[in-house]
Amino acid sequence: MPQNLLLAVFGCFFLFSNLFSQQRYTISGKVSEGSSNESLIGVTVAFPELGTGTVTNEYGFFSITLPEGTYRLEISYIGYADQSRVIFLDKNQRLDIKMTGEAEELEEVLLMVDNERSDLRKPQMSVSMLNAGTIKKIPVVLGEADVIKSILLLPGVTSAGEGASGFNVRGGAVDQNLILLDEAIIFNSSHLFGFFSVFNPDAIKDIKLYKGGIPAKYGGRISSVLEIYQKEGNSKEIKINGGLGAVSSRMLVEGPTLKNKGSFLIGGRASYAHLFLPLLDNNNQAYFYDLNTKVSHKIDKNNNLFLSGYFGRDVLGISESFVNVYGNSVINLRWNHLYSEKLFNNLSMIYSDYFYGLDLDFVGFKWNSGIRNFNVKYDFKHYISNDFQLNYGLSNIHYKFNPGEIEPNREDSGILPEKLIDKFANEFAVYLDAEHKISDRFTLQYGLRWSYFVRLGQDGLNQYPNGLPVIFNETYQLYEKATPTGTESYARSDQLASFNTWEPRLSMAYSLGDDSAVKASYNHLAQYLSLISNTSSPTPLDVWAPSGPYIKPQILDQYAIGYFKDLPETGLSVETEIFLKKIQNRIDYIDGADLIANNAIEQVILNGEARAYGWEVLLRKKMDKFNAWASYTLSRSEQRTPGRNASEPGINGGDWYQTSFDKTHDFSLNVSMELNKSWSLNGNFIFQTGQPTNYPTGQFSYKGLVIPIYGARNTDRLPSYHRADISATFLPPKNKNRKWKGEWVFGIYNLYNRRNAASIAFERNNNNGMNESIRTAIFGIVPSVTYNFKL
Amino acid sequence: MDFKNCCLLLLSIIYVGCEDVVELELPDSDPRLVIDASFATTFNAGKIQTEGAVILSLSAPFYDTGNPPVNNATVYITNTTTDEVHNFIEVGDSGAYITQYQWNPEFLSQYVLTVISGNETYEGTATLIPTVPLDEVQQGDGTLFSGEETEIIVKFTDNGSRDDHYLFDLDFNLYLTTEDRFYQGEQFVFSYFYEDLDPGQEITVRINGVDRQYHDYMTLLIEQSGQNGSGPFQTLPSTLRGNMVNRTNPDNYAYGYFSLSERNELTLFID
Repeated sequence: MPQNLLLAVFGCFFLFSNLFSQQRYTISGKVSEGSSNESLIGVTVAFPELGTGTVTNEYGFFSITLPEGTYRLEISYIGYADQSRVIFLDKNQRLDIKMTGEAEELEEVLLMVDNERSDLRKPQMSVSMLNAGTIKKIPVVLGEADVIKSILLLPGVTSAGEGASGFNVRGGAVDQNLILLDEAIIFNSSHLFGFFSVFNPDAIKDIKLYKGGIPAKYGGRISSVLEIYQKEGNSKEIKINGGLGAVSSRMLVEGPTLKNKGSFLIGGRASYAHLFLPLLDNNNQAYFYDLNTKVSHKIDKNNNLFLSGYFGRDVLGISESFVNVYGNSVINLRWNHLYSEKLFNNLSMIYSDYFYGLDLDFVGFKWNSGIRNFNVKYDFKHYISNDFQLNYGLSNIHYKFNPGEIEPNREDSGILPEKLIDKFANEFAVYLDAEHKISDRFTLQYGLRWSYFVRLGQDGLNQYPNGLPVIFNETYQLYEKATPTGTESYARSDQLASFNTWEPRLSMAYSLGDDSAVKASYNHLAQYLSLISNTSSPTPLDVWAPSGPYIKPQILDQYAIGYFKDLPETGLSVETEIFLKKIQNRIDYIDGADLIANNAIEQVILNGEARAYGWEVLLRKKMDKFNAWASYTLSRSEQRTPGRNASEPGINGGDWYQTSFDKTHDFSLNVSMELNKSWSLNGNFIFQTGQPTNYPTGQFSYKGLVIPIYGARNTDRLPSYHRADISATFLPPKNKNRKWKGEWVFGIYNLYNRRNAASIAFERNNNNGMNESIRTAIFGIVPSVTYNFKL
Repeated sequence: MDFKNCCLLLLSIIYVGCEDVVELELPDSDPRLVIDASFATTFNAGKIQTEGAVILSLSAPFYDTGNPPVNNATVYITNTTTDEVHNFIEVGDSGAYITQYQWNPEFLSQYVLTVISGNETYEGTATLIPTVPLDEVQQGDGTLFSGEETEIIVKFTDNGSRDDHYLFDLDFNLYLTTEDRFYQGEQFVFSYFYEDLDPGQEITVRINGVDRQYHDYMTLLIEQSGQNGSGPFQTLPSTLRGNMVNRTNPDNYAYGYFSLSERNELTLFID
């Protein structure tokens, strides 16, 4: 059993760390931005004489333990002036460091900061980091800086297509991404179906995407972890920044509270009311808004409190006959505590809620659905020695799922109120994860997570003959809903089903000299929630369903191996990885599955499996005024659902088929250059294999309708997708000596106006009686102007 | 009301105006028999009347505009409760087969449609499914997206003593499926929005009783026919297996469906 082996390994290293006898002391502290006190993530704290060092964690904290002595300490972070200090270490010391910008803030034209580059000595692989500065410079449609759109430029990250919601990592589905905003789980990352993401770029400090080698700290989703860190806010002076764009306006205010004891941040963003519907009647509306808030309070040097909140909504309305509102809300209280200079911990209490509401006047009803969860997490970071660091903690999430509720919205509607049955679940996890430097060349990160998911009692759970909610009709060769034999109700404290999974994780790095390294990782993860969606990209009205008596948890094994090389003299670096993923219990939908307002989803799904494999290359070039990265992914993502016994064919004949987000080739290039003090340019080029789709193999006529006939699933492809975008950023020279600092961003999306197909529909044209293939292309050439300001 | 299509309708409107027609090279599959056998029976003031025919054709490449008729088939319907057989004779070589006399299916009987073509025998089973009267069909003044649509308000009262499925035929080859799950026994009102209607135009709204299986089949068929195009939110297409089973060679199944519905209808003229 690999798990037992891992535990044994853990045991050994615990012993090791106690073997050192020399007198050692710890230096620890917090690194922050000098002018705002914003804590900085990933700052290098190095001791060149010893050839050792560390980086700050997600709260800006670092800790390092060294033998007694006098050392030179170097602190560096791209975009800030390096600092160097001499310290005499004869006792444990606290050292808080303020970094000062080497350039004026608005001029941080640092397109590829170094902390976005992989650290060759860390076992961490398959991880991408971007900071807010980078994200804001990437040209995007309508000039709306966007977290999700930026990560799509990285290898292994795609979306089903333009305007498709969410993102897909290494051939994984959208629901397999764990999206954390200040540690809170976000269930839907898209505004307006996927045109924009729900994260206000002004409120964000850094993002980190784990595509593989996911540390044991994280669990619950199997494909990736996207960690988004919100800014804490300036604790020295009030600052305001904002922007006016083609889609939305933003404003963010931050400043100190209670005499430098803390800071607050409040940021809002609202789009204009008639996005995409400018030509239509005035009664139509489509807009979104979101609000980010955060208050930080320093109790003393060992204790910090953070209260953060997020509230976002999309509102769509069609002349009052159709009103649709949905969005996330999150509230999160965190307490950072230093037990000692070596033991950092964070306690989080998070409440999050996803709401979906629909008001359909023309059929006379209202509908709402949602998911609520309450999460308590207690995480420790234990700096045992320079060569050995432990992360451990536990997490508990309680979920309440409201699959839907329908009620009449007018007197004469005739709709009877109905509540789909609420579902409840609890997910507990405990983990231990070690970062262990075995030798100068060899570093390991290994961990184990144990997750335990309980589907709690509910009312009206259907019972089926032989426990099979789906039956196969041999006469018509169709899967059909089984007729329930009855229903049973359970007390909330009952367990309808429970699952527990040991989830081992292992990553290693072996450096082949100063400039190159090989890395490998393996992880095993479990996911207990699935998004019930059978469209080619999820829609906001899709509901999440917990595992239980009829839905098994998704289980993933991922293997990755990579080679990393830096060529410092040329400013080039290369990262390449291959990965293989296998997923058990990927659910699939029977033909004609009706998912909406379905009280018994189990009657339309079958458990199948999925797999993905691929090769990724990331090439970066970083020079003084010129930065570029190119990424290429060759991959395949497939799924299949074989029959449950010999007389059933399974879904799609039981054969493997390509998932709707499979992309054989995915290439993107991002180039940025600083022309002079005032102007900088940024460009993208993207090429992707077209999305898998279905072309009809014929048609037949029935009741006056023309019905296209389709063969096996996803055997065809839309035409290849490609486009180029550019943007230019202008900093007026008069900015220098005034408080108000402005910045213009001019962009052109889809420069050569390619009509990339988002879908092709096959139907009869009722005007001329011809059968036609109709291409939908979403964005042609889209110019945009955004004005950002700071004061 | 088909709830999903209501929702996806909105998603699709964003994409309006970014569509064009493209020429694609499409794959071909072998032609299959298509059996369009929908019968609708009306009971008006004691006068029973059944409309319908068995129309046989072949599936064809997608861009072909017509579907070749299937001639010289043997077609009959058996009432398996009474063993009565009704023979259907082809009208010319149209591929449409009708009885030589008025034939009306009865409730509580089971009917089997047999089609023998190309030495293969196809069979499908149906019973007459009841419907309810339409209370009212009237023109409204609401619009949906463009402001140019014509609103038709349809009112009917569901029968509370049974689970019903309905297939609305809204003229112009527009169909709508609905089940009474959310309005059991209630009067239900909904609006349908037509494009391009002219004043004086006549519209007939028909409500057909269907069973669950046919309701599900028609829901898929309507979706797949592209009546509700929905941009990137398409579902994976399904194999459309109807209720006509090939008894000679089961793999060579036929497309289409054999159905018997009770029907009520109302007609109005657009103002």
